[in-house]
Amino acid sequence: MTAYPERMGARPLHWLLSLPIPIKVNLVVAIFVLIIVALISIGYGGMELLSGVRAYVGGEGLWSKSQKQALYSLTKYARSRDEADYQSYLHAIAVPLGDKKARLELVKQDPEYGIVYRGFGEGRNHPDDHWIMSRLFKWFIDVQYFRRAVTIWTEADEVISEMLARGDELRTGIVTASITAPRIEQILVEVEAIDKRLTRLEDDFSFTLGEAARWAKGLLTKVMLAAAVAFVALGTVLGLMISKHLRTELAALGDGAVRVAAGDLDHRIPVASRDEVGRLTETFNAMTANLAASRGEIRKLNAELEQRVIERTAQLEAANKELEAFSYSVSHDLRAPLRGIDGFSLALLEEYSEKLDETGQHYLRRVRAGSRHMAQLIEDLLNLSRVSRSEIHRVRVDLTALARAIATELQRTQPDRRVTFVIADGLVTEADPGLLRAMLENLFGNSWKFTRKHAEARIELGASDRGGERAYFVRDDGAGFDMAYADKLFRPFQRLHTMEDFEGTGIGLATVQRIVLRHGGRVWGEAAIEGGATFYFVL
Amino acid sequence: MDKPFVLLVDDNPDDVALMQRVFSRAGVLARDEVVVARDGVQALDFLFATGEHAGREATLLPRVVFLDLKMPRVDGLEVLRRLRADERTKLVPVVVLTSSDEDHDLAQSYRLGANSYIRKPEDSTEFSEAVGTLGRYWFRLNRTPVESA
Repeated sequence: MTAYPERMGARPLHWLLSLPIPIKVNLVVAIFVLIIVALISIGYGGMELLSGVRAYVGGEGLWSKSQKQALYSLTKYARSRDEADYQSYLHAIAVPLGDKKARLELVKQDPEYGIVYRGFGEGRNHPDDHWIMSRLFKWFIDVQYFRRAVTIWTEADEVISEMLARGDELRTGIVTASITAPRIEQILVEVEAIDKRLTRLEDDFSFTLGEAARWAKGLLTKVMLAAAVAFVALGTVLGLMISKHLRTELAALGDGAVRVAAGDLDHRIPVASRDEVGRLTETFNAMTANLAASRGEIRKLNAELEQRVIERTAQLEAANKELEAFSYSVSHDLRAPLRGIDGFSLALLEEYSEKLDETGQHYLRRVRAGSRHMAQLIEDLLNLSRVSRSEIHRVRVDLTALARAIATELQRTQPDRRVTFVIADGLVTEADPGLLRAMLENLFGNSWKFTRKHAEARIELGASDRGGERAYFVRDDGAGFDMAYADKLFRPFQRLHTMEDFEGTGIGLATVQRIVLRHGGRVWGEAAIEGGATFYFVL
Repeated sequence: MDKPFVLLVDDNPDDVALMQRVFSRAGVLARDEVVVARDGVQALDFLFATGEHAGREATLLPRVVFLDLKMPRVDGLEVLRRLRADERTKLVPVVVLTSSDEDHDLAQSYRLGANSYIRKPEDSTEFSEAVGTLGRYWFRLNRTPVESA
């Protein structure tokens, strides 16, 4: 495996950045869902809290009303001594007593809620409020306001006890007729005093509950604000972090891709996380490494290839030099003796012919003919070698004009021959003009030679489409040749006719083939004995 | 020797003999009007009156030099180069007469200042005609500033 540099390693929250992208997005969404759930919960809790406070306020109202009713009924009973008034008193006083029962149970370590609810019920509180009233008592007893309210409540209960004692005394006195009128008056005065104290306590209780409600409202507001701010901040920070991280990663990947595309295959993109982008980056780096390796391989192969080309070129140049030296020496050294042979033969014929008989002169002429043929062979060989050595300069060549010039030249050498040249118009190709001329001279020369025995002849140059290629052809209606020997046609010194029939060195078609090959083309011939010959070439 | 002459530089005795035969048969040049050098060294020695030709009157220059190219020791192109580099021989007409039809030889000869380049014809009849024509033209007809010197 490849080791990647600059890995942004162990950072806080790295685990978070390494999460897959969909999970990151879900996480941010989850945080905002959490905010809503939290706010709903806090809101509900707050409503419950305030509802509890409201229940206590309501309870206090009932408590106060019942206490006043009790006072009134007791006072009335003292005057009327009517049993119904006393029952009314008992009925009214049951409310504060019920509440007291609930309070006494609630202050216990492990209160029994059946008793608590029954107490609240006797206090004529609505059953739906019983639960929240108990909860509020237990949860907030340590809160300053609630503790004070409970203290006031306890104090009021004690005062109620005093009132109960007066009530009991009055009742017993009246039922047993043992109470005096002054005592009744005195009790009424005392009860009046008790009522005053209770009224003050009731005010205090209401005020304290009001304080508690305001405190609760303030607390709730703060909690909600704090929670909202905290969660929104958390969500925003996470969201920003993730998006910044993604942006950085993608930017690094983009920049890296641009550099790699520009050819810097040694560049590696820092892998910042294990998420999809991180894995994509790793894959990209691996791909770049592979590309770099392939490029290295290609460069190495290229260098080897270049080296081989240099070596081959050097060998080729050496071979060419050798061939050049050979040609040079052939053209100087092989021709000189021939000139001597022919020259002195001529001198003999010119100066000593009267001393030679007819046979002697014939032999001398044979010597001259032999040396001339030898000279022609050397000439053709040198041409063949020159064709192999010369550099190719491809330019636009007017084949039609070239062929017409060669035809005119041939006609000039033997004006009495009746040969019709049919040369197609507008034949233009890209080739080396010198070599193309030499090739066409050879082909036309052959046609000219091999039609010699016909009274009338026709030599043609044209172009045709052969298997999608443009092939030029030179066609004659001369002696032709046997297709059985077609494979020998282009080999040097190979001849398909005897010297008696047609003179020649057997190098012409070899030269033609060499020229076509040097142009990267092909040449082939089709013929029949006495049916003419056609040579096709593709350049 | 103070009458006009030509310098024939050729290492092939056959060619020399055949050319002298043509010159005399055509009545263009007598034997004693042809000075023969067998290679470049002999040619240069003759022209600059050095070596075996030390003491020769160096101001006597040939009307034309017939110069072969491929020769032992110093070749024809080198002779031509030295001839053209020297004030005394700079203007002497030089006709290159060679069996070579290599493009390189032809181009290099003219580049070095040859006045003419003739390929020796293979056919002896043509050869005779060419040599006769050359002698007549360069020795009889052509005029150069050299002979007045």
